[in-house]
Amino acid sequence: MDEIKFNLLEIDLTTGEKKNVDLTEDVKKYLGGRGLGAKILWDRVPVGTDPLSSDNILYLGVGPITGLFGSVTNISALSPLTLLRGESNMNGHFGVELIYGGYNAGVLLRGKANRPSYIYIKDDDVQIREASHLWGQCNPENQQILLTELKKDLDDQNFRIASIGPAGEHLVRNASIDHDFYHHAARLGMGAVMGSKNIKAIAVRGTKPPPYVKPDLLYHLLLKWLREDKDEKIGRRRWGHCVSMPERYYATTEGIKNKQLGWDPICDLSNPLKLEQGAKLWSDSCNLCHVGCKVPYMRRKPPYAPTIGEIRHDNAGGWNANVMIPGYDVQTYLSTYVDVLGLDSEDVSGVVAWMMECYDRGLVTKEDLGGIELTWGNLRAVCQILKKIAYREGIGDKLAEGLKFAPDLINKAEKKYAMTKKGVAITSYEPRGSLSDAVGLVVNPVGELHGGRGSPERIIFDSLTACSFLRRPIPKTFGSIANWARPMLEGACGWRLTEKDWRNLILRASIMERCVSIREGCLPVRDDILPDRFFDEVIYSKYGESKVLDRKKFLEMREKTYLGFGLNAKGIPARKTLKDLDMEFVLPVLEEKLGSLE
Amino acid sequence: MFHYGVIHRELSRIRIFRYLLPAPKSFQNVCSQCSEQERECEKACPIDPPVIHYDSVKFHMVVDEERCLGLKCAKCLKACPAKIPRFYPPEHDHAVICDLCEKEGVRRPQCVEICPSFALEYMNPQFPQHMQRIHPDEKAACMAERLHPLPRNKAQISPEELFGGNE
Repeated sequence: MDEIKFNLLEIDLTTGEKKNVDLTEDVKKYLGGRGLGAKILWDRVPVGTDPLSSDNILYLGVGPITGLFGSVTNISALSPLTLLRGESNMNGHFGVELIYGGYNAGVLLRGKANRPSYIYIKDDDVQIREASHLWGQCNPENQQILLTELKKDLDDQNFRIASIGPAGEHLVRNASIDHDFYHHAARLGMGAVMGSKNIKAIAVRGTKPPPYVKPDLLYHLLLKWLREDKDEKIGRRRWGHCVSMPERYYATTEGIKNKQLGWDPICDLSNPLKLEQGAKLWSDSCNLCHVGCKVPYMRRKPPYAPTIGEIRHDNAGGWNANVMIPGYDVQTYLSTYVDVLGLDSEDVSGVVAWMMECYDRGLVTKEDLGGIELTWGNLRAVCQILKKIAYREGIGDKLAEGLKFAPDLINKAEKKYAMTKKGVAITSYEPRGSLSDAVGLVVNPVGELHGGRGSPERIIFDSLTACSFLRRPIPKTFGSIANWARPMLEGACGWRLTEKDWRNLILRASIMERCVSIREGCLPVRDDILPDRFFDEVIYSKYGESKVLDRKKFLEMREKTYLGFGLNAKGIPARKTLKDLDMEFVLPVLEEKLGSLE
Repeated sequence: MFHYGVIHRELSRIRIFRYLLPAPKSFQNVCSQCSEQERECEKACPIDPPVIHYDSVKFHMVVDEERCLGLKCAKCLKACPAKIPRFYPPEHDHAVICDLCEKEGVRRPQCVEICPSFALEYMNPQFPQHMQRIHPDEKAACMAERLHPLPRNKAQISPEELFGGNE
């Protein structure tokens, strides 16, 4: 049977050289997106590279079914925030343009442009263009300028743009990459890596047909999917991501006051139904997604108007009760401001929450903060400090280093109040509410991310680059994930995978990712742990139930989870597993770090 | 899929254009099957009889692919206020417009069939059909009015304007 080839566009920003690289063999083993990104990092970035140096890469990863099941772009680089493997997902319409451009293994940027530039990709026409007129511009203004500039007629209307804001330009370690106003590859500082390469934006437009092997089969699967799945569609389409917030507050799984409380009355101010009634504009979908979970809102009533916003669970948690902002009315303004500056909403909210607690406890003063009264829930103060962070002014210069470095730079502030794991802020989750959530947070090889994003099942979605929000209803429609994925891959690529092949793909992508982090200095038993607060301080739910983590149970469950991931009890892949997965090339490096892997 | 058996959005007869208002919004663009007096494409076609015309038996617009002069002519595209007719040279160098996915007299628009959110309907004309013939740019401009007073390039009032002073 015919099988398709996978083509990577590699751009050396230093020399301006562009070439197409055949990555078919790697794609067969690691799929694309997150799994392939880890492999590319392993192959092409030397151990111990400074993430903000020109030796780091920025890989815009797509995969075999990008655009058929949502359109995810997974961005990979060494993370400036954690110094470990970094990756972040962004949905929207960017990935599918790369597919239609003929780059079904993604785009790899290496080196550093010698002046502010943007990358222009229209099918085979790839250019590194001057971007001094965009440099310094905030989101979404920079995207609007570029869209207007690129638009010649309707055929060019659909350039998709990923850009960084001022935060990325100033190499703020938790800067994000933004696409289409509310899609962000925000986590782990991918925006800072893009900024360090002097790249302000990437504009893509593709018009070539994707070479799917069996379009009939794909079409059949898609029809079945679009017609049968209703649940996810109804809920998310109506309220968007923030619908999960009240449930999480009531289950004590959402952080409040930098994780000091289990309940506060301001939680009830975040009511998705009221937000819908008062401010919803419409529902918006990514490519070939019938859910449409992006629900932008517009505030018209003063004082925080006019503002357009889109509230996702991640920023809903971070910019809400965790910093004591009173509900969605105020939050719509704040989360948009973060996006305008190009910061990672979730991570920077953890930095601000940490500073707020230190201010509250009198450890840092108004003078230390450059005259800002950083009291809980003070919107004006938060906006001031965010601007300082994004432009690295005054105290903002230190806070821009993220929670891995900032606590050492600001001596007066106590490190123990920084809710972080591996340097990434824990904001939107309260681990004490659920042991499995707590373990799910720590076992992720790339640092704290959203709950469960470290599991092989999630990693495989990010590698297929299918939207993981669509994964829950899949078993209902298709029986199991494998029953859906194998025919999808057959239709798209012509591969006939056995059950075992599929299991190996899942395992390989997740272990590859872990190997990169271990190579960069992560030791799972030492680093996969939560701050002491979660084990020592009891919080109470609205109804008075006490919640605290039991360290022993936590460690037991962590061990069990490692074993479930195909690792040993210490979170390290065994030699035999690596051999079975054709990954022996990692053995010398890992054994040098960790000793024998028997 | 229906016409050519491939998954290729550029060959679709209903096309989606995306704008930043600044909130992103997509708009569809498809032939509105104008009434005879309003059929600008048919009037503009230099061939006699017109290559692009209404088929009164099938009840939809058709294009005689063999006789069409292709993109180098494109008079129909220039004449259509919504810029509906599209050309895909070299494989499909003829005007491509919506034929309601008609096959053997049965009209079943596939876009309506597949639309999971019931955003599309196939129904009798509700008002003169050419009134639906709106250029996507213009649709975007109309929709942007809903976001008044925000300009197209700003997502919010700045903190400086909100709180006063130099933040």
